Amino acid sequence: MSEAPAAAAPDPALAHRAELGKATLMGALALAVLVFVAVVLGSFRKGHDLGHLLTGVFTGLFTALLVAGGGAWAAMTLLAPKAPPAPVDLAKATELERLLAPTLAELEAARLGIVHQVGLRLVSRVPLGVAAGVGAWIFSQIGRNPGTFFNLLEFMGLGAAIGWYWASHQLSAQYVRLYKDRVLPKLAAQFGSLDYRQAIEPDMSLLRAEHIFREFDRVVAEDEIFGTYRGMALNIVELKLTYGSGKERRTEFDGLLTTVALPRHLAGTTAVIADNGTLGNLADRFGGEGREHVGVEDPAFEKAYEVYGTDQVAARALLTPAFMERFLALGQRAGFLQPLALAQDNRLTIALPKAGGGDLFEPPSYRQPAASRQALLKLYGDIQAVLSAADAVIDLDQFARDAKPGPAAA
Amino acid sequence: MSLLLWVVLAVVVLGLYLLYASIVTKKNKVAEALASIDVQLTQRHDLIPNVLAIAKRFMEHERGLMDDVTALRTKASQSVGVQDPAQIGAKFAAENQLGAQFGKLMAVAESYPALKSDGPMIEAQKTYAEVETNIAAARRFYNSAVGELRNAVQIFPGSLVAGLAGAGSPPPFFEANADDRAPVDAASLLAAG
Repeated sequence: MSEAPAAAAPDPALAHRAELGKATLMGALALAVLVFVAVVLGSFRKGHDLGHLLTGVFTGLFTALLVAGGGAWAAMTLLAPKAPPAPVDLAKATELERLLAPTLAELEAARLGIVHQVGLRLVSRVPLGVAAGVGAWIFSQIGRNPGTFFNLLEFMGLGAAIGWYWASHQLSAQYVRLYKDRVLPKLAAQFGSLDYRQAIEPDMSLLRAEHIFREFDRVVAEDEIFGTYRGMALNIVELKLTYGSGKERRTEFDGLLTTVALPRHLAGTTAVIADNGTLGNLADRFGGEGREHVGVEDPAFEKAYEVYGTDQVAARALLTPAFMERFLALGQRAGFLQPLALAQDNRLTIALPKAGGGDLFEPPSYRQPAASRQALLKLYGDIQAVLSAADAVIDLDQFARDAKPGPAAA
Repeated sequence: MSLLLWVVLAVVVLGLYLLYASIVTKKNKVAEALASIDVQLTQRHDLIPNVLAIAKRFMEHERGLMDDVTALRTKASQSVGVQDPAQIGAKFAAENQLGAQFGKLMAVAESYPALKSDGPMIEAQKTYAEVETNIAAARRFYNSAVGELRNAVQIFPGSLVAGLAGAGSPPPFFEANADDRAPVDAASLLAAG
């Protein structure tokens, strides 16, 4: 007869967090009730009629719900299991710190200078912002609906925030640029003959003409890793394409645009674009110049993609059964979505959308020390992740695959 | 009533014409695909004498294999450009034989270290891999085109106009050698290694 497993002892930290969460929720509910009552009373005091009473009830309910919702969110945050912190590769961190010690010392000096400058600017610009807020509130008193005291606080807060942004944004951006330009090239060089630079906007004309990306009117190319990797010229750009403006703006693509020079020549142009539905595909078939639809044998690939090429044989020489299988698998890698491809001559370009948004290669803020182990390891990890994706792109092609495995795979 | 009859007749004639045009287009696509295979096979034929010239210096013991490849190349070269559906099967069979023997020669070359590390041979092996990939791609293009033509002429009412379009007997699919289709015997390969 087997024994029942002994019950695990309750984690005191977890029990404490549960108590805290419960107290937070109860406190938020009590506060919500108080807010509701206060708003109803305040509204009724303004006018003793049904209209004011109903206004008070609805406004009070809405505000109370907001307060209760905030409390529930805080309680859930406390109760949610915390992921264990990522293990720190101490050996790698020490190695990177040693390698970058002179650069980090230089950056720390620059950072302290920026902190000082931001401080000086805050002294003048935040009060200026607050004064502008007060001025706007006074101006609002002239109108038919004069602002209340609460509005004055709002105007002042907004003015202070604008003043803070005005004082710090430009210097913060300068520091970020400096940090990236000094640290990332050295980290990239750790992976072979690779370098980093602020991205040069790639030529989007062919990608647009071949319908790899359908609609975009703004191109933001932020960071670029380039050089020779596994014996091939490699270029990786962190790219964001958007269309429209204001509330109508939508993201067409946010991810990595990886270009590899394959060790073989491919005739013509081959485009692997996302399936766009029956009507969309019909428009695509008549949209490109001098290209034909290329039917492929893999049903899963055919369902997910439409392939167009100017040379039927070259398109199939690229899209071997192994390529198609690996291409589908590439879209199932953690952190990425369905890829798209364009091949011309010996250049294979793969657009790999990021699954979670989030910027890569983001250095620590100027408010944090430059010599941060976590920051260095995160940047190193970002490059490693990007090169791991590049390895998968290189491995798509049977001729490129034979090249030696990259250091990111190690 | 008679006007309706004329309209129906016009629609039927137009439909049959479009079907005829579609079958002719597909037939031409098959011819294009066949020509693509020929282009790639010619590259293979051009490569063979170069490989043999390099191999002769190192592989005297494989004289029989090299002679086989030469003879098969001569035979296969005669069928380059053949478009007659009745002769396509024989053409593919000849190329299959040549491909198998040439592949065997390239595999045997691997066991001659001096030949394997010879600069021109390395280049020839790279070209061989590219040519074979392109031949496989051209065959896939051909099979895709033949599949579309067969569907068009064998499904009613395509069968009505297939003869008129000169596609009454569509060409055969390319089929790989029985040896190539057989499952890989990993155990024997590992034992050989």
